[in-house]
Amino acid sequence: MGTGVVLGLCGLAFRFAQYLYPVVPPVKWVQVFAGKISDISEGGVKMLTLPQGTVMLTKIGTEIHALSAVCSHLGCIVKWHPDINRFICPCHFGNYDINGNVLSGPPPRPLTRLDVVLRGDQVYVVMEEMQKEELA
Amino acid sequence: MSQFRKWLQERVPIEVETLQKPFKEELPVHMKSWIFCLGGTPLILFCILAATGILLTFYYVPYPGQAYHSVANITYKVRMGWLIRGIHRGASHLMIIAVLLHMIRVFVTRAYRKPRELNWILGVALFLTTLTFAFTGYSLIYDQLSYWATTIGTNMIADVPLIGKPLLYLLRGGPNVNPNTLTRFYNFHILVLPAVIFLLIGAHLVFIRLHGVSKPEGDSRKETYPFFPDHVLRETIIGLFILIVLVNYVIYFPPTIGSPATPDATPTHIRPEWYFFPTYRWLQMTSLVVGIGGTQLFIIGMFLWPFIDAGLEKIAPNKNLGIIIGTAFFLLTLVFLVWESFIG
Repeated sequence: MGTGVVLGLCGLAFRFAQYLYPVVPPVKWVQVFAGKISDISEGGVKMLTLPQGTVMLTKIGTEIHALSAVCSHLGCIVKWHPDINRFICPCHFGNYDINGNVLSGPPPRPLTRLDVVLRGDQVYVVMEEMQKEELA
Repeated sequence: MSQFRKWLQERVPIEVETLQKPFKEELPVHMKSWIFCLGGTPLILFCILAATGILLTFYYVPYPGQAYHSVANITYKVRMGWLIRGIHRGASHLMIIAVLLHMIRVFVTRAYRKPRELNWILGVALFLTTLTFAFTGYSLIYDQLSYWATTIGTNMIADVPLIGKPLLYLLRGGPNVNPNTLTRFYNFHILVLPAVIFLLIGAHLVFIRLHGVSKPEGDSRKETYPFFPDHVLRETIIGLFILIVLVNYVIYFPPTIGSPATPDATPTHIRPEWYFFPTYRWLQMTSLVVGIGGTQLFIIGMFLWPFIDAGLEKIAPNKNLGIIIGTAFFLLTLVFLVWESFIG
């Protein structure tokens, strides 16, 4: 009987834990308008605060890249420092180059690259749909 | 009066002597030294925190759109709100200092040794609970510091082996810091953690009563003095002194509030509260794995310290290896704290 009571209580505790565990909807990807190619200078960085999060557009040669501004270390928003051509995280001073590769500091991996879709002069970045709602 | 006493005795059939017994305990005379009274200080501060915390809940709104404004309202508009919030904040800082000083005293006098190992473990749990209290507390303000501290602090949990990710989701109430996070942290701060600390303090006191107060090595004095009124009076003096210090501190340095939380931009030179400086400095100096792994090992080492010390004593008797290693870690932590405070 004792075992039954323990098992029953464990089952109930598991259900309680399930109640506390959040319902995470599946990630939906959307194309978000991020500006025009002509807005980004050659070798420059354009920082954008979009409803889905902060992204950086870079133009290297003729190619447009988009990087997530979320530091891969502990999630702060990195900043572009044009004087030294680096992204620097203000929290633990992780340094990244213009391609998002780690130059120094504690970040374990490069900045996340986001897919870019070009429609004529217009730049669209592929991002997770739900972020802004969560950050409300 | 005697009639009322008789009436009460019939309904609560406990002998007065039984209630008086815990207060009649005799304490060893070394407890008269102020440094040995530090154990009671966190309890006094906890009572101050509980009282001011309850008062703060009357005005605080735990929702992102309103949390910041409700704290600003308490700080700048509510009558004496600045005093209540200031005392709450100051007491939380003092509580960490008091617990640390008490732990240092226990460490230096080696009061954690057999048979008191479990009480040391409870003490470390109390210290970590106090830090969690402080962390969840300043997360509730929802200014820039609080938002980014929550983001960084919870992201650190994600790197705990095996259970990191589920634990992160459970704490945040989702993959990112979101409205659920604030509600959850509020719940932790005002319900879960008080219950945990209440149980831990209770168990800590029970163990002290079971084993009796530890005597410093080499102290052979046999004299004692009563817990009540002598020791209670000393603790009361400490409590009143703390209140005077707190109120004066708040009058001269009233609480303020930073700019509202902006999830889109981390401010430059953001730093946590001073008690997380050592961890903050350590995380800057090391890779993510070493930073978080090292922090976890440090915590495990703190929990297991009585057993580690006993092992060291077996390997090298009378060499005080435990004290040397412990002091080295303490000094390193202190160096990180000073470094981040003045240079970082």
